[in-house]
Amino acid sequence: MALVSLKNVYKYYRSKKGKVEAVKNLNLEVRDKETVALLGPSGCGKTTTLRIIAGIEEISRGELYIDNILSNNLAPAQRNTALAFEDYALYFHLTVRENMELCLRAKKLKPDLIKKKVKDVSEMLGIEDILDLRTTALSGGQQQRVSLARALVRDPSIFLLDEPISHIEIERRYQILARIKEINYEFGTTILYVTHNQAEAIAVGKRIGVMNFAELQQIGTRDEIFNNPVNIFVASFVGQPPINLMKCKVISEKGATNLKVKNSSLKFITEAKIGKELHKLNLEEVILGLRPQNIYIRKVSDKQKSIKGKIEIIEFLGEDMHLVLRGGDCKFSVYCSVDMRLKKDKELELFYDQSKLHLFHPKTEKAINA
Amino acid sequence: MDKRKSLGKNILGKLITYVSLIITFSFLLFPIYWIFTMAFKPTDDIIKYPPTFSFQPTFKGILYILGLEEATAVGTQTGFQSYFLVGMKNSLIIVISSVLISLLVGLPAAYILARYKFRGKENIAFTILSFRFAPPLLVIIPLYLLFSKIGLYNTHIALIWVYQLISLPMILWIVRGYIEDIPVEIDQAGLVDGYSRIYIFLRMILPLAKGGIAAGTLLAFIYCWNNFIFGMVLASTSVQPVTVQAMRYLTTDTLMYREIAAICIGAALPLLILAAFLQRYLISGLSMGAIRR
Amino acid sequence: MPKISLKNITKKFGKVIALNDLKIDIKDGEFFVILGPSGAGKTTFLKVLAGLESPESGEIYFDEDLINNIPTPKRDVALTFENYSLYPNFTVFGNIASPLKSPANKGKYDSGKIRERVYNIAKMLNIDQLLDRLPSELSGGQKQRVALGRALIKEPKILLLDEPLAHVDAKIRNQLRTEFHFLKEKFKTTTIYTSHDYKEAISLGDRIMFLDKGKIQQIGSPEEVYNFPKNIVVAKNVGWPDINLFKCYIKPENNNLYCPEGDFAFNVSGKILKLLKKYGEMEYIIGARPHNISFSEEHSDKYNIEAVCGVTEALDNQLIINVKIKNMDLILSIDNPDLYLRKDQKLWIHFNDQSLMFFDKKTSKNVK
Repeated sequence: MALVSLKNVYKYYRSKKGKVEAVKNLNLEVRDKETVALLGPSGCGKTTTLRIIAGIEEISRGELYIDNILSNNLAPAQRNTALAFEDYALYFHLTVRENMELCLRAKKLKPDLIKKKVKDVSEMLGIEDILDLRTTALSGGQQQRVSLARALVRDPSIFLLDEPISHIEIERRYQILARIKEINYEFGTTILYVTHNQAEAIAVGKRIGVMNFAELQQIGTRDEIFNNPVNIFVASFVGQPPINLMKCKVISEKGATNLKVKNSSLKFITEAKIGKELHKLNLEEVILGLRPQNIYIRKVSDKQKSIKGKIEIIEFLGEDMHLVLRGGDCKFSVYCSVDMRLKKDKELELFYDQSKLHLFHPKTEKAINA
Repeated sequence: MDKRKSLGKNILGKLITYVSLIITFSFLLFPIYWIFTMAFKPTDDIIKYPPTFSFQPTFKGILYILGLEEATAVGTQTGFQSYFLVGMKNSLIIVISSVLISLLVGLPAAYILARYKFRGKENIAFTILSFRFAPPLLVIIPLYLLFSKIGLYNTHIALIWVYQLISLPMILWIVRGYIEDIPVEIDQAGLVDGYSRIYIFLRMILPLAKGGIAAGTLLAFIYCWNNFIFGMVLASTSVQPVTVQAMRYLTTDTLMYREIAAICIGAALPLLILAAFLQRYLISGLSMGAIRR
Repeated sequence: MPKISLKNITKKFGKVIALNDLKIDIKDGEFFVILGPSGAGKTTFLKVLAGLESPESGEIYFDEDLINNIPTPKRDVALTFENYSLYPNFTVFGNIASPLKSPANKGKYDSGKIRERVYNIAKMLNIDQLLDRLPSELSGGQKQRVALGRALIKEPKILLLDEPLAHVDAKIRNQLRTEFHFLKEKFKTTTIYTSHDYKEAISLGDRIMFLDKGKIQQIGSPEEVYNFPKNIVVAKNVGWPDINLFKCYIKPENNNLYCPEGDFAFNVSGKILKLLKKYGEMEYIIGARPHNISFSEEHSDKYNIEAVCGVTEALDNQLIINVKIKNMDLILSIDNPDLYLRKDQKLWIHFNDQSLMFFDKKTSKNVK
């Protein structure tokens, strides 16, 4: 059952330069008890989408359903959503407890019930000991937890979070992320989490929706996004270090389809079915994507193919290593486990699985699949 | 969202806002309007009761204070003399000099107070600020006796010196606040690059503090220009600024209200022009001195 | 290019001791990284070297010359500030050129030479198209390059970089860190680089100094600091996720290590036992990096410690698994983010004893 569903939603603004589309033809479903992360660079439309669901932005076209009710024209107070702002927007002249109680009192709940709700939620977020402090006396991390608590105490159908951890001290970020995941797990709260940080999105979301230029590019599990990106934008936006992208010439040799990287000695061999597809599309050039994590310094299976490169940079990162190698004019990244024998300027043979090669159309930038 | 409802609310809200603004401004600006028109009114209209708004304008007052009309009443300016122009000359000399000296002394002092630590720093700073709190009446008699003794009674120098009590604290505190807002790392970057403190002060900090300097200068100018008591007690008619010169039109013979009104307008004119050009610095300047981080 | 020597440097701010009796020797041409949490004293260290702060006691030598009393403008150092500290009213060109126009360099460079050098540095840093812009028109990454340009242009004997990547977007930070490897070659000078991010430290540094609360915790190569941290503070701050720490004591009857919090026991190799016995204590704090704890979904002789699986996070390159052994929390990490584990599933843990760290319970020092 979809808790929140957007069907063909558009949002326009009128500006001096004419019509600006903030959200274009958005079709998005957030299922009950699910956490969906909405990911994209600034200005892509993800925050606007959140605000549309909350009701503080009007929909220009399309339909929004919350709990199966058409909600386009419902006032924010009438939708059962709670929004936690990026900059917390706490009532700074009130204490933490008062911040949390404010909206419950507006709903005219009984004082006993209010007390209980505040107690439960503050325990869940670990803020029981600061309930009577003024919000101005709190650290960034504490303010963030109060902002989450204030939204959570309303028992919403869906919890809308706008970049909740971007302003928190680095040491605490991970803890709050884990806490948010726990809330979803323990209480079955449906969450829509907006961020521009792809590591956060992957850590928190069961499904991740990637947006760019007001359009939803792709939505899927981490696995789907990583292993089947629909276009170059999704492939390069998600993943650290970013995917290696190389312009290649398509060459048919001895019945196999080879991809020779431009200005370089590197040659990749693609699977037969992909080769056929390239032939069908009559493509002479193609853009090849291969993730640094999918290039290995040791052969793992016989099916793997190899390429050669010279080590230019070795980054020892403790648990793993990041290498930058060069093959001709082409530089590419490899992310692998630690091997202290590797030295700069060493020539190395590297291995890859053909199934992990991603090919993209040079003009449309869309993925080419068999 | 019901668009029609919100539109209606808007119109009513706007109406109330505008009406309140009009009432408030009328109340505040009325005295100025009255004085302004008084400068152009025939004498009978000035003293008429109940007062009227309509009158036949005349330029006699303006011409009189400019010394272009012959004096008539006893004890007033003789012949084609003009107290107004004498006053303006004195005001300009005294106030411009005061502000310039305050800048010369105050700007480096502001930098030192903003950047360096030394014993008694806050005490010194607060002492200078306290000059603004003290009512001039407290010090006026001792000053008079002192200046008379050393022969500075009725000199421009005396007034320029005394006006430092007004302009120096103003410039010091406003510019100090501005400089404190400039990160100290900018100075440090200059030092690392090989520049001396003086160079950093002159070529990097002062240009960045332009806003504060303008605000401080403007406010110092305004407060100095408006000062009445120092000029009245410590100087005589040849040195007194325009604020005091206006009194000379209260003669034994007649009360020349129109001429006094004309002087008021004339004296305020330079300030109005200056403020109009630099008004954006006024607001920030007024709040600057008040807030200490 | 000098070797830098600090002898017994102490710097106080009121009652707070920012640098506590530091004694360090930095080699000629070295890329020396100072790693530490915020407030450790890293920025103070650089400012003392630059002469912007004076130490309460101690001596600083550049190449055998005592420089304590030499004022900042006369020391041959360059410093990039954490907040870049570009001159807001100068263009990018003006900022980069400013060291060459200073009184310390009066007359050395004519305007033609200045323009040439500024252009070369800007080209090397990829900012040659921004020379006419003001700092307010630049992004964070661009400002950082301008600050670098301003520091590099005077070819200083010592280059001080204060947390250069601290305020850059997370995504760009990784790329910039990699790029720094290329830049490093072009510096050709003794460099001191501070950071709170251990990845930057171990990736870039020839040697790393871990500073905490003004005291040196350890100085060593990246591998040493990562694999052989001298104490718990270093072990906790180098590596992510944070190292697992739990108390254990040696059971004399069977020489097993017993952990009271999780109520489990495991054995270690004879070599390690010998080491611990030689050290003499019975109780230790054990450090186990999440990467070095292995598990199996089935019980066996090797995998014999029972644990319950909690929340898992699939990140880019690893899977983070939170487990509970009785009431004790443990974090594990494996390279395969695609592995699926259910919450509350039973897992069996094995500690790889070669990579375990043993810390003295009282002094927190590493026993090995």
